[in-house]
Amino acid sequence: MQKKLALLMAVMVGLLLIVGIYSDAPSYGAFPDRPLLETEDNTLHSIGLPILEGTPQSPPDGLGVPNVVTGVLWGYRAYDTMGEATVLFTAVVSVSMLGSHAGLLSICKIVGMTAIVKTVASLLTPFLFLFGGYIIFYGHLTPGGGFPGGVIIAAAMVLLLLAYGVRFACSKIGFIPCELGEEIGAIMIVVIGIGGFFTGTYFLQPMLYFGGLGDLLSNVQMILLNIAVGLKVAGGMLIIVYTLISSFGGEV
Amino acid sequence: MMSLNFPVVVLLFTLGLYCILGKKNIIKIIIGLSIMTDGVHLLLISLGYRSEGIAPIVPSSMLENFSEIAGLAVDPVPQALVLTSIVINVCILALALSLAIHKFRQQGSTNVQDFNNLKN
Repeated sequence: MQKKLALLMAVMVGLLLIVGIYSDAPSYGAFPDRPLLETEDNTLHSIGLPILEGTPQSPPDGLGVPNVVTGVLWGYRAYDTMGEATVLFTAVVSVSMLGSHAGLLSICKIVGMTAIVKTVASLLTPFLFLFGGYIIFYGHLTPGGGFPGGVIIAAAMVLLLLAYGVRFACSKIGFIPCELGEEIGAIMIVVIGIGGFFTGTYFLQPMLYFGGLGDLLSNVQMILLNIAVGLKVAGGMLIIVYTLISSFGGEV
Repeated sequence: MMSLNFPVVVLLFTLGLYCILGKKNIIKIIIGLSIMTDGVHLLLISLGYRSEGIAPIVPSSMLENFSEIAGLAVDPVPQALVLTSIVINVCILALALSLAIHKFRQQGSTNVQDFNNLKN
């Protein structure tokens, strides 16, 4: 009975979604003609167009970064991204409060896998760390940024943990370095943001520019913010992994 | 060619909603929540698509004349929004799984119908 009711409700919501999407939403692939923003000369166009035109320009008209998505994330919506980092921090704190990591080394039964897996993991992990660092450092030029790079670094540590056992992983990057990374990242974002006050601009306003569009140092502040958020995400993800492992009684 | 994006959005959202409403295992409910969020992400990304569009990143061949990018690239705003949303989704997933583990240790069950401590 309950399942039938659930199915009925889901199908009804699906029908409503179909009606809504095909009647109100702009058709697929019609981005620039999507009228959302009214400009001074009463022409309608999407908000994405002025951002695409403006962001790659050198300051003060634009942000001077080729990757427009990172420009939106750390330029126009930097406040929001800081709030997102705070959400991650809150989730990590709540997860560590609900679980416990006190017995991580004593109860955890992950002792590593066979020599084949260990060899492959030892060959792969340096490149995974390098790739994560590349994604973080070049986040404003190529696809990527602090969030994906941090997750890749955390995934490399999880590979080490599964292949070599939890004792080895904790001796490399234990709980305290993860906590430190997370907190240093959070403090870095706020300090960089406050730096805007001393140069006469706003909180988290991009201000450090060396070089033209496409150079690595074209927007130093975004590199620093990406490093901060990368540290934060890598630390936070590892804390979540360690806590969930020890909450399961060490069995995976 | 007809695009499958919007039908897949509807399918993902509906499946996730059915999973949340109809299933009793709390892990399955959390999986349903995740599937539902993926549907929303796909919808937001699809709304910013331009036919034959490229990624909103200025390629090295266009660095001298970057104004062309506005005529070629897809909408960057929904992509940035979805990037935020994915991170929030990961946080929600981790927190929900922790709560499920906590509840399992307390009650010895993953069935949501056993979680009736508020009733008595």
